[in-house]
Amino acid sequence: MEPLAPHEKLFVDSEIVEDENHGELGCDECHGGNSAEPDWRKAHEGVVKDPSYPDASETCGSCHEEIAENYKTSLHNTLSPFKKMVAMRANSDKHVHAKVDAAREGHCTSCHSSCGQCHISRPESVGGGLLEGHLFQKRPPMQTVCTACHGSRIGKEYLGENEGFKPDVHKEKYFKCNKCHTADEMHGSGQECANRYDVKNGPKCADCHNAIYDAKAENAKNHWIHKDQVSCNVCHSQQYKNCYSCHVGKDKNGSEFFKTAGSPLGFKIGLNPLKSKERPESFVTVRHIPVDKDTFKYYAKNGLANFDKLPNWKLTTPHNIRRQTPQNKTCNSCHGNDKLFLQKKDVTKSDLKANKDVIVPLEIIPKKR
Amino acid sequence: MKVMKISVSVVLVFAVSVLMSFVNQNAWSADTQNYCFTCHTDAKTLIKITREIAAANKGKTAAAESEGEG
Repeated sequence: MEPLAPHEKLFVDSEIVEDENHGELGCDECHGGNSAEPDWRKAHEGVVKDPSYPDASETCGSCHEEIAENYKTSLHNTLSPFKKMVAMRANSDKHVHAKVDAAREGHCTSCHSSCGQCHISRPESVGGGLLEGHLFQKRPPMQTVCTACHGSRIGKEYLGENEGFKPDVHKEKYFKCNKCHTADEMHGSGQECANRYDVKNGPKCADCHNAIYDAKAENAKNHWIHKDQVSCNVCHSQQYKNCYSCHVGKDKNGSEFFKTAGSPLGFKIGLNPLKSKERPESFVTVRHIPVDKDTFKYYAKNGLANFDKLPNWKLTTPHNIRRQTPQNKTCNSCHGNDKLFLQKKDVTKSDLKANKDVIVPLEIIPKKR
Repeated sequence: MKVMKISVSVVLVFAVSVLMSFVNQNAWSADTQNYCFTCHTDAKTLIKITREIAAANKGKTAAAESEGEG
C-alpha cells in the first residue's frame, strides 16, 4: 500500500458538497472544533479525529441507527475475542491479571476499526489518511482498508504475494473482500460473538458452491466422501503463514512496540478445535498464532500462567483457495501423508499441553489407499 | 375568485422559495465562512501547515521500531 504524504491524509475533495446526504452536514457537526475560526490551531481545539469511535450512535447513528447499534458488537469494533482469550490464559492473581489486561488494551486493541476507518479513512492502525478526500465510500476499498490491516496473512495469501504460491482463485475472478464478507457480517448483528467463526452471516463456501454434491456434479463422489469429515480448506488451500512469539513492550520513551520471531509458510491439518453443528468436520487447517507464554513478559512475570488452557494452533481458513492443490492431486497425496498432519513433533515441548486437542494422533491419520 | 386563487398560489410559491433558500444557507456553506472547508480543500495550505507541524515535532525521538509481521 502506497503511503500518503501528511497533507494527502487531510485533503478534502470539494465534491463532498455534492453528496446529497453527507454534504449537507457541516464539518463541526461531526468533528467538533470551530469552523468559523481562521487560526488553524484554535479551530482544532476540541476536534475529534474519528467521531465514529468508540460510539457512532450520535454521528453515523443519527441516520444509520440500526447499523450503529449493531456495530457496538462488531468484532472490528470490540475485538472482544482478544480480551476473552487473553483473560482465559492470564494469571489468576488479580494484580498480575490487571497488568496483562492493560498491556492487551494498549497493544492489541489499537487494531480496532470503526465506521469512519472503513468508509472515510484508512484505519488508524496503519497510519490513517482520508480515502478519496473524505468522499464516503459505500464499499471500503480492499487494498487501502481491508488488507491494510489483514495484510500479513490474509492479504498476502489472497493476492498471491507469498513467493511460490498462486493467488486465491476468487481473486483471479476479481472478487473483492465484500463479495463474500457482506455489509451485514461486517456491521455486526447486535449479538456478542465468541470468535470470528461465530459471527452471524459469515460466509460459507456452500453459499455459492451448493451444487458440488449434486449427482451430476464433477467430483461429486469425492465431495460426498469427505463431507463433514474435512473442511473445504483442507483440500483446497495452499501453504499459509504461521506466526510465532509475539512479544510486546515499551521503548525508553514509553512508545509501544512488538517483536515477532518469524512467519514461516506451512500447511497443517489438525483436529477441529471448534467443532459444532455448523462446523462438524473432524479435520481442519490449523495455523500457529503469535501468542506464547512470554508475550506479556515485559509487563508481568508469568502473566499468562494459564497459557495451556487454549491452543495456539488454531482453526484457520486460509484465503488462497485453488481448485487443485498438492494435497488433493490424488487420494494418497493426503492419505498416509503424515507430514500434512499436526503431530507432537511439530509442536514445541512447552506448547504440547495447550495443543493436545488439536494434535492429530498417528493412529487416526487416514491410511494410504 | 380566480384572482384570489392566483394570488394565494404566488404567495405560496414565494414562501416555499424563501424557506428553501434558508435551508440551503444552513447546508455546507463551504466557500463563505467555513474555514475547515477552505483550508482542507486547498493542498497548498495543507502542505504549509503540515510542514509547520513537522518542524514543530522535529527533535522528538521516534518510537522503537516493531520487528516482524503484525
